[in-house]
Amino acid sequence: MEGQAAKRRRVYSIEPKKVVEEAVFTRNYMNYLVPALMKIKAGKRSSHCCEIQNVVKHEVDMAMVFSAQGFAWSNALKANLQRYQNEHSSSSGGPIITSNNPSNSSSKSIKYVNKDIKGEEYEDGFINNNNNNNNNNSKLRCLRRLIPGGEDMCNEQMVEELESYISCLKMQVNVLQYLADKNC
Amino acid sequence: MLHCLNSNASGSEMTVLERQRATIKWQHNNNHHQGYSSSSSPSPSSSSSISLVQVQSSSPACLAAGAWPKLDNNFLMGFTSSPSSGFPLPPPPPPTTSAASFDLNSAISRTSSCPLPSLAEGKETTTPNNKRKTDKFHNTKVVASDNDNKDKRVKVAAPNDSATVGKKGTQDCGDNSNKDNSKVSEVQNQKPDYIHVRARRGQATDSHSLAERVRREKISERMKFLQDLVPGCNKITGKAGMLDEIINYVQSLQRQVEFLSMKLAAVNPRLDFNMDDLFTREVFPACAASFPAIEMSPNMANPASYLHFNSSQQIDAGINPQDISLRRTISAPVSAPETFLDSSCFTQTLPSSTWEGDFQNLYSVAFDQARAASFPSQLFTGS
Repeated sequence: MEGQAAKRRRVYSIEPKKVVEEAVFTRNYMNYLVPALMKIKAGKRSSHCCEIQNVVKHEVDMAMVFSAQGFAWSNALKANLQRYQNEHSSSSGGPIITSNNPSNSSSKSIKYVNKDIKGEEYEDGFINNNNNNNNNNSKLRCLRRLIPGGEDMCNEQMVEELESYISCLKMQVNVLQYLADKNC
Repeated sequence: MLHCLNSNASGSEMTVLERQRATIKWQHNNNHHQGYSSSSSPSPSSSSSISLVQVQSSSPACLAAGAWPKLDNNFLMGFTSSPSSGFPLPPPPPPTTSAASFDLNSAISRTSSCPLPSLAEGKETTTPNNKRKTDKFHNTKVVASDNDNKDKRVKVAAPNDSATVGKKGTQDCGDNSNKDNSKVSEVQNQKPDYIHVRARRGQATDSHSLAERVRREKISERMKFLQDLVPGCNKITGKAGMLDEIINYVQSLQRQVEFLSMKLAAVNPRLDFNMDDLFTREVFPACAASFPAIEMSPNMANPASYLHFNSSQQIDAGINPQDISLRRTISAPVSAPETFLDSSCFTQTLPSSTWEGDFQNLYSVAFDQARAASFPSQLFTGS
């Protein structure tokens, strides 16, 4: 599964499926995120809330990357985040403070766009007998946009990556839920 | 019939003659046609050869897959083994009959998709399945025009033919007769890392569609795994519905992450992330009840300093669950005092496989609720 994101080849992976265990993920995630959040809070009290939000989002994603290493989607997410980081390099050595950039290159912007993706695809005029196939293809395309780095994957690799991605997303939501509830 | 072999033809002609002999013999055995008689006419001209050809072409049914013996040394050996022939092992004496003047060019062609004689014997009826191909050394082509759809199909590897010719023959037959009925095994094992696929009944047999089918099957297998992950997918059986559900679920999870991160960003920075509640039921739905103590480094940011979990110190009945909470402390400068506020109990048992082996754990166990911020790194070995 590793290192295959770059090519849309039909590669049959014979490596054993890597499973992310919940405890490991959670521990790593908290490990990363909590100090980062503390640093944010301690550092820039007077920052604009949007900036803080961006920074928090960034750190949330980075925590995800850190906790689930070895998957194609996590590598792609890391690349996205690093690209974002390079584009909006921080002034000081502290956390990244940027203006609210609408052309955000991180995966977060993709998530906003995708809300209407499924609706768009259905509006296309499909021929009836091709409908099923086209629907499936459009859904796979849609999925491909959802998963980070999905554009570079072939279909079966994407389905493999989806398993780990969905389970990591679930665990991430759990952790964030806990953190948010704890402190509000 | 073997007496015909006593002719003065050359060695190469003898080979051709041998073929003729075999053909004639087979024809005689199977059809009792006049081909035998006509072929044994003594006229040395090419007309006899033509007649031979004609006879054979007039009865195309004779020229079934089982008709042609293998035209190689084995055949010659088989021929020479009969005692009545009287001619020695190769080179045998040339025949004298019409075959003597049989032109090489008009000889009956060897086929590339010819079954072994042993296989041919088993067939009572002439069931020509294969289309015969011209040997590249001969111009005349005799074709078995029968392309009946039969279930049984013999794949022959003639030793002198190239693999491509053989494969062409099989693929032709595949196109003609096997698209509907037969099972085809497409063996492309030129290299060891090929994937061997068996085409199913009623399905296309070219390599692209086979590979395509393998991919589709792999994808649907993966989708079954996803069914377990995505809640509510158990009832849905179609691929489209499954994909819909997956898309919805991933989108909703991502939206949730965004919302929660915004919430966290806006939170009042009373960030005492003591995480004593972290491993309770809400985060780990099937968490363990009690855990033995492990040494823990107060520095969270350095994973290397975490000590290894000793799995031998497992859950003990003697440990009072009231006093033990599994937690992790952060030595952040802000959150000092409330490290061990909660002694939330674990009421469920974490499966031991989660804690074993492959990761360095950093959990500590506290016993007192009102404890100072300096966490004593003591190893708890039991109640």
